[in-house]
Order: sequence, then structure tokens, then C-alpha cells
Amino acid sequence: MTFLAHWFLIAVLAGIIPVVLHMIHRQRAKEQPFPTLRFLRVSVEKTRRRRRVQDLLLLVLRTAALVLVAIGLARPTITGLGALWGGARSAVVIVLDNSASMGMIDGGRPRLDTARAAALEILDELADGDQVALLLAGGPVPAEPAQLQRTQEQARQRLAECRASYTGAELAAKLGEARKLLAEADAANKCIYVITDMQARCWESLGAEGDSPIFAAPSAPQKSGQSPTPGSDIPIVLVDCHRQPKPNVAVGRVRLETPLPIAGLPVKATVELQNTSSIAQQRYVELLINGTRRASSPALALPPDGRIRHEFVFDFRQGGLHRGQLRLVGEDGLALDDRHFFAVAIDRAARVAIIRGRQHEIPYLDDAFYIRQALAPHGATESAIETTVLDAAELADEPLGRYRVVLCVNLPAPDASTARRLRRYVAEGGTLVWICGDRVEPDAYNRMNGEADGQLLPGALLGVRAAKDEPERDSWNVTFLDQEYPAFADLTEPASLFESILVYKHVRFDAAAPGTWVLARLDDGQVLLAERKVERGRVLLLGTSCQVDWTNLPLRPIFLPMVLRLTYELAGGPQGPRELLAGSPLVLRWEEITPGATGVSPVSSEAEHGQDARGTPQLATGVEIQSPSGDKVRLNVSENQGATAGLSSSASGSEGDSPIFAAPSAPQKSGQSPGTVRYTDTHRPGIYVVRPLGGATSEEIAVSVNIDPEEADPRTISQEQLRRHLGGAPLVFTDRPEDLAEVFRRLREGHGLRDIFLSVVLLVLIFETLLSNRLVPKPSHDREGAAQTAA
Amino acid sequence: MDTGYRFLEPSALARVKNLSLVARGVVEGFISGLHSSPYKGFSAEFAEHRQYTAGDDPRHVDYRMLARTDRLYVKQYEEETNMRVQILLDASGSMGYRHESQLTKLEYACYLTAILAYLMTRQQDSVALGTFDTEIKLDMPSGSSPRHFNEMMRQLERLEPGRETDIAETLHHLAGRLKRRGLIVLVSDLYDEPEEVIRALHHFRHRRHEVILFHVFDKAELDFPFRDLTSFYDLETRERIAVEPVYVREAYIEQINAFIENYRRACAEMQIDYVMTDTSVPYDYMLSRYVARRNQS
Repeated sequence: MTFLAHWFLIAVLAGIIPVVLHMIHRQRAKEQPFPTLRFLRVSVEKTRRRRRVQDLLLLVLRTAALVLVAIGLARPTITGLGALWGGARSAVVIVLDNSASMGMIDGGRPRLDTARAAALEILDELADGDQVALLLAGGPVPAEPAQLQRTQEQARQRLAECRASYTGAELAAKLGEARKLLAEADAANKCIYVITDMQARCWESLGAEGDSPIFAAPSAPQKSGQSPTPGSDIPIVLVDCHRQPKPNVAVGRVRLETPLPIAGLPVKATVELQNTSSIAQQRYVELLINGTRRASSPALALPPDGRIRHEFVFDFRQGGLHRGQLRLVGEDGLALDDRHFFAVAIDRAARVAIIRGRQHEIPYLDDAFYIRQALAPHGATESAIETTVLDAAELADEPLGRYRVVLCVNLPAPDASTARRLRRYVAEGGTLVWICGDRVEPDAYNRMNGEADGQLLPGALLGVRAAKDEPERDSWNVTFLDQEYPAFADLTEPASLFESILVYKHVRFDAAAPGTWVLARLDDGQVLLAERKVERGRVLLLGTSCQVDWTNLPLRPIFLPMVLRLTYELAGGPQGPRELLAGSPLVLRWEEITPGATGVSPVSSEAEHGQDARGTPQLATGVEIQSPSGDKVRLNVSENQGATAGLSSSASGSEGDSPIFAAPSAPQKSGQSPGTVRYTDTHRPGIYVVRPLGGATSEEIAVSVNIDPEEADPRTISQEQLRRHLGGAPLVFTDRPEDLAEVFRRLREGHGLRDIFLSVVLLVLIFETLLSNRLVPKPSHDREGAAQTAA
Repeated sequence: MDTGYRFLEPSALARVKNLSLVARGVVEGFISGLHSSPYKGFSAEFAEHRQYTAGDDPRHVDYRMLARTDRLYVKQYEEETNMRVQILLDASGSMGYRHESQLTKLEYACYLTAILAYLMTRQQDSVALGTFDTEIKLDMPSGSSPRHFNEMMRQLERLEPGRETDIAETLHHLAGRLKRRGLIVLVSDLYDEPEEVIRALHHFRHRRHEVILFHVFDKAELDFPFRDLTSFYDLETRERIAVEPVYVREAYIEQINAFIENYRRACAEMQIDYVMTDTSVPYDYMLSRYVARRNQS
């Protein structure tokens, strides 16, 4: 036990006052004559023993009351039984919130500096033999898990090196980790310090299971089978570093839109700015492309706690991988959220593959003649669409991932293997268009579709129909062209544009499959053109041919704009750069990295090294990942080993680091994809570029990593919410990091007993009052003084 | 009107002037008086018949009885005589106690003795006065003359509280000395061994004396009104005892009541008039009430 105001212990001497008073009282007895003492003697004898006990009891109570008051005023404290015998050891875990918001300038300096000073203060208060561990809530996971150490070197070193990370913090998880550490410690005093800015999003995992606390205190009612969380009774000191942050504007979400990611076409970048302060601000935003400033916004007025959007419209002048950045001009409270990176892979032109069923020596009789002329006019050198005409036989080996759209014109039904390749192509974002003709056999196509899990056609083909076989009919005309379809938006007026299309022969098909969009119908209601979304891509089917014996469509004025618009629309596809939040793992399938090995990659960038991937595809031997700082890390994959992966790195400082790659998870046969690549060191915002090593292609995949826009959310969690969710753990809140030493001493010294002592004093005084009133007889009424006579 | 005697107040005289204290039993007086004589003679009051024996005065033969019974009976008559009264006054140290009243117990007893003596003397009774503590201090023979009365008053005025008490021995001694039946009036606080005192009283009764016992207290002895820590010292033995009165009061009162009740019961058994009084009660009022009640019974 210790005393915080030990000088009051002198007052314990007041306990002899009742004894002294008793003695003085006795010495001051009044002299009184009495006729005889015989009755008094007897009376005294009869009451002597009881009186003695009562006197002693009252004396003890009165003395105890004075002594307890003195002890209570001396503010005694106790930690545990061990503390009674002196020198209790402490074990402390410091959870330091170094999430992005801790980089905020608050009170004239970064919050992290305030937090670091508070943590140093705690370390200074520890005595020899005390155990300590420092857990950083943000940033990369350390190679070795934190352990309680009896020396402070490691903790101090980590404290000196820590920086505000670009990631968020999961403080609830860190608390659980801290509790586990301390639950196994053998110290008498245990405490967890959480130094944070109390940002609400750092505690989002609390109360994830309804409102029940994640940390079940021992006293809390337990669910069946649930045991109290170890260490749930360890006191937690929450140090609030939130003061008056400097006004801050954060770059929030950025959206890039372009009809087609090809050079020359406009790109719209919409950036959202968030004012996290309570005063209005005016800021400027710059757009940088490949390090060069391309545009700057006007002064943007942000209302207090408000958001605004601003759009930049620009274009990429040439194809390739472009690195962009949206950046706030000027300084504010938090620099970490002033930028947003993005990477866009721009093609020189949209690549379209035209797979023809046959090649005819007479050009206009070629299956793909009209299509090709519509998309790539003869003599055109600069076109946004780059067509590649292939024969059916070439379809089996052509790397389809290079093309945005694949047009299969009057093809015989591909074999199963090709069907699966086409299925994968569509699933990964490609657009497949079937154009019928005389080589399209419905049954064969249905079988092919079956091989592809029914994902290659909008619906089952029902048969070929010729108008000449219909009574009193020589053709059908198109009576419906869906103007809601973006490509046809301006082609439905006047209706004669499409109503003049005559169809002499077509393949009937069922368009009732879920997700199928009927784009055109004949006058008898039969579907002529339909589209169906399949995973990330889509498939279309034109029931007629592009030959004049099937239809006059190629000869109609609508044909050219219709084909172009449709191709542009189809070539747009799912766009959007790859984006990650800082700290999130970068996971890529091997097929994405090395499209040459398996053949599919929906987004392909212009081969910077000018390699032609049309040759026999060669397998990549590994990948190289370049971080924003320029460091490169390589992963080589052995063909024969398959499941193992060696790590050779040219990146500075990365040798010996904890693995950042997940080795392929299953043994692989030669030529088979090794699975996924997982890269976890994404704690710095910027553009990460993944390149295959070796292999047929050197196409890069760019991934932009940015800070979570929610890191700018200034909302804090309240003390009541924390008390509710932390399951009854003893909580101490302090918003004065500079006074942590006092808090630490108070915790070390344990529970204050003053209130207990003074409560006992009150009880003693009440009991003494009751007892003395009970023991001291009340004087009865006087006896009647009248003479009593004998009977 | 001053009586000339300290212990004889005019107001007391006025109160008792019409009272007469008559012996309940027969007393052996020496002159005619108010009281019954044990002796049967031939005076005015018929008492009883007895058979004629030779030598009886034929004037006292009851002829009516002869006519009725054919036997000779003579009438016997009550002879009234005066009473010898022995007043015994306890003059021990304890009788000198006074708490808040004006009179000590001894003074009170002297007043009572004086008025009793006056009453008796006026009735032609013969009054003897004796005072004692551990022994007989004053032993005045009986008398009924004014001079005798005057001497008694003077003796009373000179009386001072003595030492310890030995009531029993004194009573035994007096009981053995008094030959003729009379009235014994004991005025005392009886702070002696009750059994011994009762035995001594019984000695009087055995000798056919009538006894009136005035048990005198100070009110403080009965109520024990003390509160503060007090060192009591015995007026007779000078012993001391420090006491918290509030804590022993209940037990003390129980003791004193038992003490009184013991004497009351013993006196009742011995047909002794027991009168318990305290100095807060006017003695004349107390005496007149007692005499009136006695005369009624």
C-alpha cells in the first residue's frame, strides 16, 4: 500500500485523543457524599463487566474513526497483494496509432510527434525490470511479432523510426494483440496505453457483431461456449492527441471516364475534395500527367465540412502507360491526403479482331469484306480502330487478350478448346460478336455453347429461316432498333433508317436468357440482334449475315455508322484503372500478368518494347514489381519446381525482408499457370508496375495505390462508445499527453482506498452513535417523593 | 407563634392538634389513658364474662346470665391506661445526608420525633427518647411532664450525626430492657443488615411491643438523580467509589427498592406499621396521613 498524501498520517496520533479524554474524564470525577455505598457497590459490580466491554467498544470505535479518517486523508492506494510487500513490477504495452490521420498538424505540430513524446514519457517512467512492448497500429506488419521486453531499446528504436503511415489503423485488433501479450506476462501491474487521435474509423471493427462487445469482460454475461477474453480486465489508458487540427482539405475519390481508352479521345477525371475543417477554404487542384502539369483548376470554394467536385477533361496524345496525379496546391493540415495517383493504359487504337469463316478470292464476296471496310477504310492510316483479320484456323492460337472486340463472321462452330478460350476472353472483359452466315450450324453452335457453360451465346440457336420459304414473303424488315442502346441512340430517327433493312435469311435464336438485351427485331417479332452480359464481358449475336444474299444491311446507309458506333461502344468495355488502398495486398492472377501464357488479358497496353506476341507464346519466368520509389523486386518462378518460388531482388533494402510474395499455392505442371502473385508492400502511395520477366510479352500492369479518402474523416469516437464496446475493461481517458506520468503513477500505485476508508469511517461513526445511544441509559422520570406507608 | 423549640413548628402542631395516636394493642400504662390495658378490672367498659369464683364482688355478677343459664358469671370491664412510648432515633452518620432538600435525614427525623413526642405527651402518654448509632448515645427515660418534654426538645436540638450504624444490636438491647408493653417508634434509614434488623424488630414484637417504623430517606437515595462521573464517599465509613451514575442507576434503584420491599414485607408479617418517607415530603403531612389511616383501620 502507498499513500499519496503521507503527511496526513501524522493525524493517526489523534487516535489517542479518546483515551486521553477518558482518563481526564475519570480524573475529574465530582465528589459526592452518600449515606451508604452498599447498593452502589452492588450495582457497580453488576454492571462492571458489561460496562467495561461497552466502554472498550466505544473507545475502540472512536479511536478507529479518528485513525481511519487520518489514513483516508493520506489517500492510500493499493494495486494487488503483491504490492503490499513492496515493489510491484509493471508490464506495459503501448499501442501507437500511426495511421495517416496522425500526420495531421494539430496544435502546431504533427499528432504523431505528440504521440511519440507521450510514448517516450511512458518509457521514461518505467523502472528497471518493467516489461514493455510497442505496437504500431499502421504501416507494414513487422517481420517479427512484438514481444514484451525488459529493455527499452527496441521500443525506443521503433518509436524513433516510426512515421505516419498511409494506411488506416485497426486499433481494436491491436488492443486484442496487446491483451494477449499482457495476459501471459507475470507482472503485478499491467496496463495498455493507446495513443491515438480517437478517429472513429480506427475503431470500426468494434461492435461489428451487433452491439455486443468484442472484448468480453470477465463480469459480462457470457454467451454459451464463450469465455472471457484473456486480459480483458487490464486497464486501458486512452491518450487523446486530438487538439485543434490545422484546417485540411483532402483529395477524395477520383473517377476517370473515357468512351474509349485510346489516344486522342477525351478523358474526364472527376476529383472530389473534402473540407474536413469547420471553416470555409479555397484551394486549387492540379492535374499532372507523367510528371507534367496538364491543367489547373480555378479557385475552388469549399464550405465548412463540405465536399465539392471538379472535372478535368484532357486526352492522352499517345498510347502507353500513363501515370497521373491530382494534387492540391499549397499546404494544409495533412499532406498525406493531398494527392491521388492514377495510372491509365492507353492504346494507340482500339484493336478489333475479325475472324472470318472463309476467305474469298473475290473481295466483296469475302465474309468480312463489308465489316472490314466499315471499320478500316482502305488507305486510312490514322484510325482509332485497328483491325486484324484472321482466319478461323488462327483463332485457336491467337492471343485474344490483345483485342477489345472479336468479331466472328460466319464461322463454323469452334472446337471445345477454342470455345473455352473464347469463354475466358469474354469473362475477363472481352466483347465477342457472332455474325451469322451459311457456315453457322445452329446445332453445332449450341454444342459449342454447351462446352463454354452456355456463356458464349445470348441464347440457343433455333434454326435457319429463309424468307423464300415463307408463304407470301420474300423478306423481313427490321421494325425495332432499341434507341436506348448507346450505340443506336441517334440511329433510330427517322425510323426509315433501320426499317429499310431487309433480311432474307437469318438464324433464329432464343433471347430469353437472363441478362439478354434485345437490340433489334424483325417485323414478325423475331430477334435479329441481342446482347448478353457475361461476367466482365459481353456477347452479341447478329442473326443475319453481312453478305447481300442474306440481307441488304451492308448496302444501307445505316450500315457504316451502325457498325462504327457499335464497335466503339463494344470496344469501350469495362474501364477504369486498377486501384488499391495503401496497405492492401496487390493480388494478380498469373494470367493477368502473362497473357501470353494462357492467352487472355482484357486490358492490354501497347507493347513498349515492340514485341510481337503473335508468335508461339513463351512462358514468363517471373515477375518484376516496381514501387513508386523505383525499387524493384523480382520473383522468379521455376518451371520444374512449380510450387516453390525463389526470391531474388535488386531492390535496395528488400533482401531479407519478410516475404511480400505468396508462393504459388499448388504444384504446377509444366506450362500450367502457377496461380496468383501476392504483393503486400503497398504502404506507399503511387504507381506500382508489374512486369512479367521473360515470356512472349512485356506488357505492364500498372496499379495505383492511394491513401484511403476516409482517412480524412475527422469524426471521433466518444468515450461512451468505447466504454460500451470494450466490454467493461477499466478505462482511463486523458486528453493531456503531457501528464501521462501522473496517470502512470496512479495506475502503478493502484486503486485509491480513500473512499473506502472514509466510508468505513462513516459506518463506524454511525455505529458508534447508535451504540452509545443504546448503551447510555436515558434518565427516567423522577420517582414520586410521597411517603409510602406500609399496608 | 414560635413554639420555642427548633423542631416543633407551629404549622405541624396545628396539623396534629386533633390527632391521637392510639395503640392498636394493649399497652401497659400506669395511669388511665387512651389505650387499652392488658389488665381486666371493674371499670366502666364491659369487656367479657367469666365464671364466678369465691371472693368476686357480687356487684359484678351478671344476673341476666344467671337467669339464662343458671350459672354464676361476673362481668369484666376494659381498663384504659396511658402508653409508654419509646422513640428510637437513628443518629448514625448516614442520617446526616442531604442532597438537595433543606433537611438532612436526621433533622427530618428530629422534626418527626418532636411532633410525635408532642402528640404523645398531649395524650398523657409517657415518652422516652433514645438515639443511637453503633451504640445508644442518648437514653432518656419516659416521662410525660412538660419539663420532660422540654428536655427532649433540647436533646434533639443538640443532636449531631454520629458514626456507623448498628441498629440491630441497639434494638436487641432495648428490647431486652423494656419490660412493659408499649409503643416503639423507630425512626431510621435502616442501613444495616436487614435480616439482623428484622430479627431485632421481631424481638420487640415477641415482647408484645407495638412497633411503628418510620423509614426515612433522602429523595436522592430513592431516585439517584446523579449523571456525571461522581466519586461517592460513604458518610459513615468514608469509603469511596467512582461511578458513572447513568450506568448504575437502574441497578441501584432495583437494589434500593428491594431493600425497601424487604422491610415492608417483613414489617407486614410482624404487624409492624411501616412508613417509608423521604425528606421531600412534609413530615407533618406524612404523620397526619399515617395517623388518620391508622385510626381508620
